[in-house]
Amino acid sequence: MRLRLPTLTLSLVGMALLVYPIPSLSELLVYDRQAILAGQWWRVGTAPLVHFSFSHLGWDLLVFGAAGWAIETARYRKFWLVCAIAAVGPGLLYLLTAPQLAVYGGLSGLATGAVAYLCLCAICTGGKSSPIWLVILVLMGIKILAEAVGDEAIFVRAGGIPFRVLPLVHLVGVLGAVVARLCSFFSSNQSPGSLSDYP
Amino acid sequence: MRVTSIVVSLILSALLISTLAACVRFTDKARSRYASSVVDYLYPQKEVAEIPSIPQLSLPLRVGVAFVPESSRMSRPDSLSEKDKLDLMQRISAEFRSLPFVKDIELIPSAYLMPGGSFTNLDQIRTMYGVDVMALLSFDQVQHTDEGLLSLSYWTIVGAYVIRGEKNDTSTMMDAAVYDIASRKMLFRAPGTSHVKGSATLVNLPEQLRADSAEGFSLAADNLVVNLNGELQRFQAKVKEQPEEYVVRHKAGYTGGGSLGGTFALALLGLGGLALWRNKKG
Repeated sequence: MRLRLPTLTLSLVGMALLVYPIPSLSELLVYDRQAILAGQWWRVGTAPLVHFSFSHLGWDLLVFGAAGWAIETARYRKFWLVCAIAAVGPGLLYLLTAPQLAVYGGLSGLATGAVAYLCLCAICTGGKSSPIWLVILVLMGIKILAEAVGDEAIFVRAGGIPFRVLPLVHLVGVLGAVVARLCSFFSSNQSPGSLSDYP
Repeated sequence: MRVTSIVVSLILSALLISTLAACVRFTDKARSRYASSVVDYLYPQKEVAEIPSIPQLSLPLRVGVAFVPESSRMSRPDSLSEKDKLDLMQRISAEFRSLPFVKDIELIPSAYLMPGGSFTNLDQIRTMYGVDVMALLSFDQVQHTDEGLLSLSYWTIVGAYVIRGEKNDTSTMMDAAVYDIASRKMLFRAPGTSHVKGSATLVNLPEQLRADSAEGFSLAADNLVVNLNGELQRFQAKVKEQPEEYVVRHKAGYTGGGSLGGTFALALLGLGGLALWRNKKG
């Protein structure tokens, strides 16, 4: 079987790696409420490419890269939809509901969405590992709930600046995964692969 | 004969009195206590009590660091200069600077703190510098020139701190009390102590005592920084564990984003890897 190149995953990882060391590019792409309201709408979608510290970048890329690679290699469809919802959704929601949030960035919404999508697809296609995928989904749910209810991560610093963890970003990622899975399920002539195709 | 003995007695008495007076003078000169007190600064009128309310911490915080004014009865000519105080404040403020919820640190010059200024003075500083929280630094330094003559018993905001002294020793106590200005609530405090053993002789006593004084402050500041670090960790845990005692919110204009965290990311990767391996194997 031919190995399929995970183009979407590699493109997003490459862009995030390119943006991080160039501050002027980060400033141009980050979610900046004032700039968006002044007409720079692309920032709503490009914010996930911007990271505030090396560890912020590293963990996000590691999880997104691994999950995205597994998804694309297994030929699960509609992964682009997960990425689109997880990239644009939080920016739009914050623009409408969180006027106090001035700056936002990070790929963790896409990473969470990718992991959730991988789990949903793997569970739906069956296999020995279904219980493990279910455990991962449950763990992610617990983390998002703990962040939302307990405000556990209020004391976080990234790149020398005080930083607030936004659980909604992860929640939108999971919702993107559910929507993409439903679209995939209802679309006709769909022939998704399975994780046994994974090289 | 009788007259002669009376004259001799008078001369001896005069000599004895003058000797005793000299001793008292020597003892007074030898005693040296140099102090400032948070209690005197915040609560100058003991009958008036400030009732703290629940602190509402708007993150990220702006923190002010300042030395409270020295007690006039316990000052001395070679007291800490403004530069010395700024140096000490900078060392202590470095601990706050590393905190995730602190945005800015302002070092407040001593001239802005009035003796007995209490929270009214702190409110003025809050307006001038825009700080939310103040770290009030105070100290008590005693240089003992006679064994057991003077021990250092410093009244901190939570009780007395006693250090006994030996001859020519320098005992120093520094205290950092961190207050939320708006609620009048003390968030936490940390002490720092030092004890410099005396090596001075009568010939170099003043110079050596001055050097010991500076060393005492420096060592106490080092100790304070270590204790402050521990107290800051405990404070962060307390804020999370007791949300009913501290209201935490974020100021307008904050930065945010998703964060997976190392532990969670590794857990995801581990479990995902295991699942993929089982699939491949099966």
